Amino acid sequence: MQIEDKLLFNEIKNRNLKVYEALFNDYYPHLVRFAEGYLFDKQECEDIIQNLFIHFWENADKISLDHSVRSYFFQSVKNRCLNHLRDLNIRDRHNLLYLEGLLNVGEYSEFQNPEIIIHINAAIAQLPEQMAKIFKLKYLEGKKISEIAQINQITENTVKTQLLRAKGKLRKLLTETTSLNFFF
Amino acid sequence: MPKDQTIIDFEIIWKKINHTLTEKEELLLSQWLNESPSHQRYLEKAMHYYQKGSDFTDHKTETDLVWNRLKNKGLKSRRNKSAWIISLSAAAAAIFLIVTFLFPPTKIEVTPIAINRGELIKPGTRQATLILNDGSVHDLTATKNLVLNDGGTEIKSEGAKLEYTEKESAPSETMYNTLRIPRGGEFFLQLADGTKVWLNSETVLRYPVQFDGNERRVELTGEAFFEVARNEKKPFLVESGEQVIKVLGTEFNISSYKEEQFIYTTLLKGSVEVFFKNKPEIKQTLKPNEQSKINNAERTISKTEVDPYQFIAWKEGRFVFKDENLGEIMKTLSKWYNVEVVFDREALRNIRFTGDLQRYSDFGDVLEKIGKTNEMKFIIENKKITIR
Repeated sequence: MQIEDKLLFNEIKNRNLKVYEALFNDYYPHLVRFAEGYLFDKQECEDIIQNLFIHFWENADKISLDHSVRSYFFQSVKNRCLNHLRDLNIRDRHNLLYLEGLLNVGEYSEFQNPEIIIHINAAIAQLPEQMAKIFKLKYLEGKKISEIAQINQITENTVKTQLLRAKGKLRKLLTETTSLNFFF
Repeated sequence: MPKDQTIIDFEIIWKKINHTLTEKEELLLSQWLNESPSHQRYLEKAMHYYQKGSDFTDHKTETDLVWNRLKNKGLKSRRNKSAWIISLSAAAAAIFLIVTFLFPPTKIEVTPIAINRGELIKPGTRQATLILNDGSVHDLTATKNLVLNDGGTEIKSEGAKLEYTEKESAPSETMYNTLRIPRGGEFFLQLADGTKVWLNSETVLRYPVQFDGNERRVELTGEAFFEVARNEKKPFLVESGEQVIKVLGTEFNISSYKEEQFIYTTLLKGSVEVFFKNKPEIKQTLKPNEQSKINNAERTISKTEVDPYQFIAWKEGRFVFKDENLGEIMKTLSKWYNVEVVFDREALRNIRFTGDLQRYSDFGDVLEKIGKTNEMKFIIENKKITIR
């Protein structure tokens, strides 16, 4: 575990609310988006993640982290989503939902699997130029829709449509190749 | 096999959205859809999401709003470790706040009382199965009395108690007995050296009929409370999976269920050493009121200070939950009452409870007490409980 994570974790164990707030502001939107890739229900996702934040706060001293606080949160959200789906009798043997979550998150570093990143980047390269540009601005650089609209001198609706189409194409590209085997 | 058990892969939903379903898959999907409105809702949400994108905006103001709610109602900046006895009514107030915050206001059920649709679910009883060294099996219940002899040791079972007494000198090879407690059972055992063991539901203990050699070693899966008879010359060891505990003479509780990721050992009196079978040099020594936790996946041993009462209360005939989430509570209850528990909503698993209940009440009574403090509905069908 990196020193920054050790420090961060210690602050949380010592109940530093300000630090936890900063963490929350940083992670919350990404976690909701990630969970949305599994459950498609904003309210349900928010519930799960809010519970997770409460659970983590109250049990920090009993939790042992493997890699980072960030990966703990993403892993926990994924597990909770999968549990929820199990209760609905849905399985994800082809990792389609995992892929969905990944595309939503944009920062792939915590997923420890360079193959996925290579494949996603290769797929992005196959998108039409403007679509690829907008997709990267949103998911790889984390820019807001309003910002992207401004940068490219287009309307916010155009941005949204392009993003939707980009994700659709990427999904198709990534699931049609046999590289699904690399997803876990 | 229950009728509502069609399991689909997400791929089917994916294909439905992309209009590439085969006829067979269409049928499977319809079957699954018909089994619950929550399934239909999921499909609708998935379709909406793929067509329109996310409803979630990452506007800072929205995140701030959520944080403020969390801060005021969910996060406490100081935890009070010593004052664990919170009366149920005070806990109810705290829980109620969290409930109204986490649940969308449109969906509150107003009937917290259990709907009983089947037989009364009785609490566990004193029952066990004893397997002797030669493999013979004996059923032990509170109503049967049994006197056996296994290699010179007298085994007496009366009421809910199994007692071993050394009679003759030790035979040449060590003989083992195994005691199995089913779900819905509990039992008491006194070993040949005078050590007393209380065994909880779904527990198996394997032990030598007589303790020869220079140590006393038993194997445990499940949960048991030990009151070890003091013998400095023969340390008492308990093996549970990868964990080994070594004691001289003391009182402690071990919770080591196979499906759980952790093994908990709580010490009441005396002193114990907890270590891994294959790595005895990594160990924790416990003092009274300390609890060790072994993480099977990560192979670590950690320890914390606890109030042991909540972990050994089962032996005294009580369930004690201290700020425990409903998911964990139901795990414990389902073993004792031998029922299956299903949660209709993920969020319900995380509601926390604090309380002290009698173990020998009917399950309906227990649920009523839990249900009283919350807006949830329990539906009982034979041995299956659904919580919504």
